[in-house]
Amino acid sequence: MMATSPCLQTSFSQSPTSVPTAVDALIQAACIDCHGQNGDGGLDLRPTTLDLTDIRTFSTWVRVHDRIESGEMPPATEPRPDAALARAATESLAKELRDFNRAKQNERGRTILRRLTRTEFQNCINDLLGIQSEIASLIPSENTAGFDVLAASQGLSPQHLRGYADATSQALELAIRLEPPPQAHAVERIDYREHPGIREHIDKVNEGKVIFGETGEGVVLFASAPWLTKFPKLHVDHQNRYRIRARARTVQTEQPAILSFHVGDYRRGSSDLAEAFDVLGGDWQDVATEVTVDGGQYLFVDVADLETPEGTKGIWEVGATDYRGAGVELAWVEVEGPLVERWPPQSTLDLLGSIELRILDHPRWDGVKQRNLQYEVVRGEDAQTQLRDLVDRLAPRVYSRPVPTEERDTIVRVGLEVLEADGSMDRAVRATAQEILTSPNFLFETAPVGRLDGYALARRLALFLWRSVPDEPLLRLAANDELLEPDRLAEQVERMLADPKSERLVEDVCQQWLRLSEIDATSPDMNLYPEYDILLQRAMLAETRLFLAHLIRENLSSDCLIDSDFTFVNRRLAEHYGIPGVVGQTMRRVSIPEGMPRGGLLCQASILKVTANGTTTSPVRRGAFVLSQLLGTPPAPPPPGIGAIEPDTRGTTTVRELLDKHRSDATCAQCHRSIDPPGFALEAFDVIGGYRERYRSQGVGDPVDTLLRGRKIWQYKWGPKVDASGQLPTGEIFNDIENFKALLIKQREVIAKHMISQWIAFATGANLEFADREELDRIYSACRAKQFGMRTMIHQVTQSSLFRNK
Amino acid sequence: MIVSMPRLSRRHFLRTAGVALSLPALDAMRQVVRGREMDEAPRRVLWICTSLGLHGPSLFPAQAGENRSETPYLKLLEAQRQSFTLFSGLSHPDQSGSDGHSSEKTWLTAAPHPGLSGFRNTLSVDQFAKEKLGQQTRFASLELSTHGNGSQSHSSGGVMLPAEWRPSSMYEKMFLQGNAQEIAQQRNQLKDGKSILDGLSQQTKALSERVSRADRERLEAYWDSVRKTEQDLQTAGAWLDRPKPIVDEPVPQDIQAENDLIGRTQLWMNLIPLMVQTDATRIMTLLIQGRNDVPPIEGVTMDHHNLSHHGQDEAKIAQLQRIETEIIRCFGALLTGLAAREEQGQSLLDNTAIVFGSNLGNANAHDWHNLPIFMAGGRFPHGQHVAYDTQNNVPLSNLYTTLLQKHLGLDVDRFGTSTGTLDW
Repeated sequence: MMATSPCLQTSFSQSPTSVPTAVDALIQAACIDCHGQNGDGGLDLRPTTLDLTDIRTFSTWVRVHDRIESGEMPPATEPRPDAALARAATESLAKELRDFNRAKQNERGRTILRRLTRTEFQNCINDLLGIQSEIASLIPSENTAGFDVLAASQGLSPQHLRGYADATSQALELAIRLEPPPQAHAVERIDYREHPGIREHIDKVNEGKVIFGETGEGVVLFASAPWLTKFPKLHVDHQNRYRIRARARTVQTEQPAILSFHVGDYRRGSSDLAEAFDVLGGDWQDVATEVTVDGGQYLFVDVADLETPEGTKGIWEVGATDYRGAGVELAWVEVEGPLVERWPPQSTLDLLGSIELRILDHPRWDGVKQRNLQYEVVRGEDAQTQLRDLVDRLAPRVYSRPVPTEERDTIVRVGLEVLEADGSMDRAVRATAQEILTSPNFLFETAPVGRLDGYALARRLALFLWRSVPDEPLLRLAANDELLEPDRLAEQVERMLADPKSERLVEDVCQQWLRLSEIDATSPDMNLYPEYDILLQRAMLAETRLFLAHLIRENLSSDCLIDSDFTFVNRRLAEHYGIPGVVGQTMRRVSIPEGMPRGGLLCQASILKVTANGTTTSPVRRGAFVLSQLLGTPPAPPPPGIGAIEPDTRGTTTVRELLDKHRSDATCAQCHRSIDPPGFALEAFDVIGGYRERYRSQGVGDPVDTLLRGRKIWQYKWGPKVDASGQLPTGEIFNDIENFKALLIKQREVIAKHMISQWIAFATGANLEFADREELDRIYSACRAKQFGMRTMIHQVTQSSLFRNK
Repeated sequence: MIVSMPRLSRRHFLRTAGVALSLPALDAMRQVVRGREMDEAPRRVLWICTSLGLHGPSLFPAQAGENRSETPYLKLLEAQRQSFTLFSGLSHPDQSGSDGHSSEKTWLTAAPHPGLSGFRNTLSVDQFAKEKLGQQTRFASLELSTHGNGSQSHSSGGVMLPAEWRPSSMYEKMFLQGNAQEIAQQRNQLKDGKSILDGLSQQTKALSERVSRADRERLEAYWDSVRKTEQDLQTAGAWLDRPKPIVDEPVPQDIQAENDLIGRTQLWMNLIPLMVQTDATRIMTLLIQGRNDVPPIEGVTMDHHNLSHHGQDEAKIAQLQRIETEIIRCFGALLTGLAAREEQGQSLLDNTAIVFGSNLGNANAHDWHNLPIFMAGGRFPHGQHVAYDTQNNVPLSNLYTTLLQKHLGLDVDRFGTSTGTLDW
């Protein structure tokens, strides 16, 4: 049994000590009037002892240090303290804080028992077992304040343990496949002209129903009708992969239209977009994609972006023959699959190793799993040796280190116990694998204080860059300590960043740092934003992901986060931004046309969307995003009793008018003079990131004369003018978003430094501490010499003492 | 033995056989009931949160005092007027958080500043009560939702407990005996689980001897979880041996359409009285999840979340009212359902205290002050609008503490941010 020990023991320093003389002198000279008896801002500087073991006391003194150092305190309204005294005070205070913090780190390390996040857990298990599971949702969600990898904010509870048990059990169901082989691989070509659901809707004036056209060569889809375009005869019992192809062309239009493939789910009553293509012009075009279909799901095709010219009648009114709008003509659709290379799949064979499978003469019905079983896991003559072999193969990969005999035998005993109970090898194998996959040796990063050894470094590196376990080459370099050599380490970073698994890093950074996981938190009002749909959303997210990946791949400067002359779009997003000449649904890099207010992160639709709700934008929310996410200076929460402003979309008042109080009330102004201006600049963009000069209104306003899919927009009107000007706390004035970015880029060093500290936190699982500032400064200088290249940052961080020590 | 058996209700939905079979469960209950009068029925609590708020002007009367059903929403509950109290001026302090809906996480915990840097959620009031009461029923507590596995219940480390959204699955756990193969399978799972946990204990022990002191301290949580899970498996094993009550009601058909918020809510309102009467649990929470899709309600064309941000647009407010009207009707149906059933001569509603409300006071502005809070059942004096200061709110935890003390009879001074109890 482990002894219960108090959370914090104080052996790592001589604290409490007394406040350094110079600090005390400064306090007496310049601070005590406000921060004495009065305790302004809740700060009382009278005590003369420093008990830094108290976390709150420590962070208070860090704040005192930072405010004096930056000159923020004493405030500008008070006389300046003697410069030499102030410097002496901050230096001695810094030394005190640093020494204390370093002593603590030397004793405990920076990162204490970092746990795999649920996303990492899923990635690891998928990579280890060679499967594609979605088990993360079975594990309690992570604390979403900041990065989910931060050990200090990670919890562990019986719900986690139950979640790991459920998740691994589900993963093993996918890895060990004992049912009969999926129906033979087949290519099925669907001719929609023969499809009864479609036949009866062809070219009839049939109120309330969708109408398809027929040509000599195919069927024309004039509108979305997933319940009719569902693929017949595709019954899927278990997860499998399929390839879909289609031959299509547009009719009655010169504009591109979209043909898309979807995977629908009866149980959820919803569907996911698998892939979308632009179809253009009168020539046949072939498109193809691969999709994973789960048991109970079905496939369908869909169309979008079809224009109905102004002044012509709708398809429901006139029927397909007389309809003048655009359509997508489908010659055929083909489904090929299931795409199975071998059966039982490789994942089953890999996991079982020397343990044999027997083919049953007749499939056996498993009433609990509700499926037929064709194979049986055989209990060999020497089951113990087989289980040992299983553990020897699996455990070192899961724990990212060799597993000594004694430890192995503990695990093997679990399997043996299950075997003894009823003799089923299948259960013994699963229990043994679960014992490994739910072990604390897998779930936690444990390392002795000090320098990480090769294995610990390999694991930390793989979790950072791949969000998963190390692969064999990495473990080999760990085994002979070659990974500890800076050059080898750098080579591995290069290799790992080139691997597609590093897309997970970009994805997670987008989700967590830029909060893109919240993309669906609100859905744009469909009257105010009728152009928004899942296709646009997908392109928005892809833009930011590709943009960040590009900065890393090309080692471009963190300055690009503020402004860049390029971005990534497909036709849909290009139309949203007003970039001409982009055709196709594939995302590609484009130069931003002269004078267009795009470039940088803040002008990307994804970010503008997650910082707004579905109806209105809030300069406060967007301003806070800029301060926290880009500049690293998050504003304090509003004082108690302050309500949020009440949004109003009737077109009579603008949000800026509602925020006027922030300027007129001194208490509000203190924080909002920093928060609001970036948000004011971003008022140039609506809730879906479209550029605007006037607000959209559902009440009063002027009619809109632009077209949407061929028709005049009637859903909203043009309301009041947007004012995207403002004044920074420095006094600098901007008139529009371009002006604002020009001012923000002056803060490039602050932004680069914050970016580096974000990489450090994400890579090490611990936020930057006071004692880490020297190492941060060193990394910063090295990155500065390379124009703050994002790839350089990753290299510098992984080479740093922060990354290479516990 | 027969003393503590639930009396058959007018609708006689517990078949005699089922009641006899459920005796072992009731045995466990008796031990706790001892000390109180033997014929006293168990006390239960249910918290229901509709996470997008309720439109204040349609709900709150201008005046405190007797409920005269003068607002549109109160009118919907006219028949149940004497069974509930409406509170205004209640809220948890310091709820500004990482976004406008963060207070959803803390409705049952009162932890300050949800989602902001350094935030850790805390033990929720239902789990607090559960720990005090101990496991006397098949389920120590039940966490329910209309969508997905998100709940507002949090264990002591502030970890969310997963919710069940499928009434059919809940019904199955409570009432379906399972065939021999399934029971054997469950028993195997428990047995294998026990072996795995034994192994994990040993691995943890060996690991803790190797790691640094700091790591070892934090490994305690894992260690505790293993032990707690072992206990849970044991309890589950004991309940596996006890037959489940048999009920006449058919298995509810889950509603697959995700946008059908009302249908999904109503299914729970139908099932909850059955859960109460068969004493499946004493502690329940239900989250009516606000949605970004359009519910199938006549006259509603926009999604619920969007409508909650109505921006004072009258057309949107009218649509919002249609959705909320249906939600309130569900609540009314629950009250009627509980009042219509009896146990030991008392209505289920008398023995069940219900808190129904929201974590948002004004969803249009994400304002978490002045929450709409109903309290029903549980033999509290009802029939009024109790109005506290809408500016300087009384802690909602005061209501929770009152409930823990007076309804559940727990020896508790405070919960969350409570400053006392409520008397009205």
